[in-house]
Parts: sequence; C-alpha cells; structure tokens
Amino acid sequence: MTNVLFHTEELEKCWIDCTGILKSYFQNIIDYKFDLAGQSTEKLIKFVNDYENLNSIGHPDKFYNDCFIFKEYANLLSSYAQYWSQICSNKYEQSWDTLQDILDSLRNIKKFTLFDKTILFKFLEKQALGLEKLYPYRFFASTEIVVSQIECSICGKNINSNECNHIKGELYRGKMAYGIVKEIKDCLAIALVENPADKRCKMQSLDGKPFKFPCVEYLTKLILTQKINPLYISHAEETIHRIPIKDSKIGRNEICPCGSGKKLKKCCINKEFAQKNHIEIILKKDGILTSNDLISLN
Amino acid sequence: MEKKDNYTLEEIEPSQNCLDFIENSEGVFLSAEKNFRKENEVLKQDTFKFAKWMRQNKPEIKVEIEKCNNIINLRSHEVWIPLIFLGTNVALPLFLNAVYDYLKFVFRGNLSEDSSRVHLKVIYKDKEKYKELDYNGSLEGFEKIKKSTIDSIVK
Repeated sequence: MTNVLFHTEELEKCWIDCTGILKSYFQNIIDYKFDLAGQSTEKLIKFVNDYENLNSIGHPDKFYNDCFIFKEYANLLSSYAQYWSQICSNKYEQSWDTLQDILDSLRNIKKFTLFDKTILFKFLEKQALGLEKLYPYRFFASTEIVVSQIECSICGKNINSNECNHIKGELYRGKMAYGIVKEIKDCLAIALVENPADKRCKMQSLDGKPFKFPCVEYLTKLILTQKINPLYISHAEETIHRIPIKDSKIGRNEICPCGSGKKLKKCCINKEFAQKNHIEIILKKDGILTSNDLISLN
Repeated sequence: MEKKDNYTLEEIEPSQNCLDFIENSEGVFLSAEKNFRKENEVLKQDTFKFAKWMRQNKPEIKVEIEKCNNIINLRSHEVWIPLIFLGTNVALPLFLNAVYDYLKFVFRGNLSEDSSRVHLKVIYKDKEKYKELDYNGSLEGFEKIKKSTIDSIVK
C-alpha cells in the first residue's frame, strides 16, 4: 500500500491530479456553499470514471478496487455536502437518509483501506455518529424473511452454491458482490430493532403524528446564521440534566422542568431532582480542520 | 441500550444426525434449525458466507452444509452463524480461533458505535461427553470466552 487510501501508484497520482477539486470542495464547505461543494464532487466522480475508462486494459484487480475506493470517497464527500444542504432547507427526514449514506461510505472505506487512521476520517466518523443523536429515531423496522434463491451480482450464479466463490460485501475487480433475492418464500415478521442492517427503515411515531426535530432545527439555525461551520462541529453528546426541585422556586402548578409537560405537582414534586434529557453539540477544541488535514493521505 | 453477553456450556444428548457426524465425519457440519416462528427447518443468514470464508481461508477444515432450500434473512446488523457440529478431527480451540478470525473479517468496516453482536452454537465431543457451547454477545466477549475455553482445555 502506497498510502492509507490506495494500493496502486496510478490512483495515488490520480488523487494528486484531483487536489485542486478537493481544495475547492472543502473551501465551499467552509464558505457554507454546500450546493457548489456538491458540484465539485460530480467533477471528482467524472474524473475517476474517465481515468478508469482510459486505463481500463491490462491492470490488476487492485487498480479497479482502488477506483471503487476513490468513487466511494467521492460519494462520501457528495453525501456530506448534500446533508448540509438538506439541513439548510429543513429537509430533516431526507437528511437522516443522507446521514446513513455518509456512514455507509465511511464503513466501506474503512473496510478496504487504512483511511480510518487519518484525521479527516476520525473527524467525519465522530461527527456523523454524533449527528445521529440529534434525530428522534430510536427504533427501526427489520424484516425477517425466508428466501430460497439468491443470485450473485458478480457471476449471476446462485450465491449459496459451490459454483459461486464470491463473498457478499467483498470487492472483485472494482465491484462489490451482493446477493439479489430472486424468491421470497415467506415473510415471518417485521421486528422493531435498535441495530438494523439499514437505519433508513425508520418507524413513524405510534400516535401517527409526524416526528419533530428540535435539535436538528437548532443546528440549522446555527448553520444558517453562520455561527458555526460544519467543519467546526466535533460531535453531539447525550447527557442528563439534574434540576433541583426541593427548595426551588418552581410553583406546584407550573410545568415540571423534566420536560414531561405535566404540572410539577403531578410529576417530580417529591423528587430531589428532576431529570431532563439533554443533547449538547460539542465544537472542536482545536478549531476548524486545516487544508492539510482535509486532503492528506498520510 | 447495551445488551449483555450470554454464554452457556452444557452437557447434552445430541440428535442422531448430530451424533452420526461427530462420531464418523471429519470437518464441520453447518446444520439447519427450526426457527421459533416456522415449522420447517431453515439455515441461518450467515451460513453460506461463513462456509465460503472457511473454504477460502481455512482450507484444512472441511465444511459441509445441510441440504435446505430455506435461508432466513434477518436484515439485522448482527452475525448469525448456523448450528455447527464439530467432526472427529476438529478440536474446539481450532474452531473457535477460526470463528474469531471470521468475525474480525466481517466486522472490519464497523464504526466505533456499530454493534458487533454474534450468535453461535457449537456441539462437540469432549472426552466421552457431548457438549453444547452457546454464545450470544459482543466480539470482545467472544474473544474472552474463546481464551478461557482454550485455557481450560490446555490445562
């Protein structure tokens, strides 16, 4: 491996050729121009596609796998720009799905490279996992199905047979193998789980009312007023605030500070403290990431 | 919510099918099981991925899969290894090490807060007794179980 992201010198060279596009992408994020940043990633994907097509003959598998990684990296940057653009347009439900795209790209890149050792990866991982906490989604739908025929996306043969050597989720000449379910025999259940394979299958609230996104709305305000830049946000932390009840001046008929919406006399009046869930957006202590942090592969 | 690791190791009376394999065959047998929601037997979702990985990375261990057309797909972020019988030439420590390597392979793209939960049940012969190791828990917990099991056998 020549650096943390690529296994071939060709793709390392391609990366160097893209430095200008990468710098422009991050500058647009710093300038809150998220749509323009998204356009930079389209250029990046086109650049890698053209590079792959021009050099498509006579290369070992690792060349194509490197092209996959580069495209996944471009997808990551594209989703990141799209996420902040959606936040600024109050598209909170869609932004959750885009956040999952960011996390999936991070998983794919980590799986096949050493990119997780870089400052940028650590920053994006911590931030994306923290941003998840700002959303109201806690349970997800997970299907329990019985299948009989699954076709391999690489060779087209039955992925569950001795004829197919491809392992699901692995790279083969720049393509990830996956199984295409050809026959579902039975759907046994749809379970409510905390750790599904896909968090995009989010549940609506049981009372049928749409979810509210107060924490994300707060974040939106901070971004729209340019008080904080996305590259300045470290993560979010869930904490519990303890609000003293005994000897406090809160009246019996006032709303309880725990956030239940009930009057104090019908809620935490006999407790020493009312406990309120609290989410804090934590900023980076050492300021915004430097240009070197953002594009370095060492 | 963090789930606890559950581990049991018990002496059991194996089924005839299981007994035949353990006494007379080499390698490992990946068995179908009854799902609590279904009458017919099904193979767990990681059966074929695990079998392929074993064949490619641990070719010294022969892998046999029970014939069964039904595979249960849970779409969860967990690893469900099928019920496994160990044959005459596969010692438990050797097998647990292979499973651990497989789990590290599967979870290598996990982010810091991703679940790395695994479900595993192995039936094997220990001297003249038949035992079942049943584990549901984290990768870290599995590593501890693996180490303590190997240590107790070595002693």
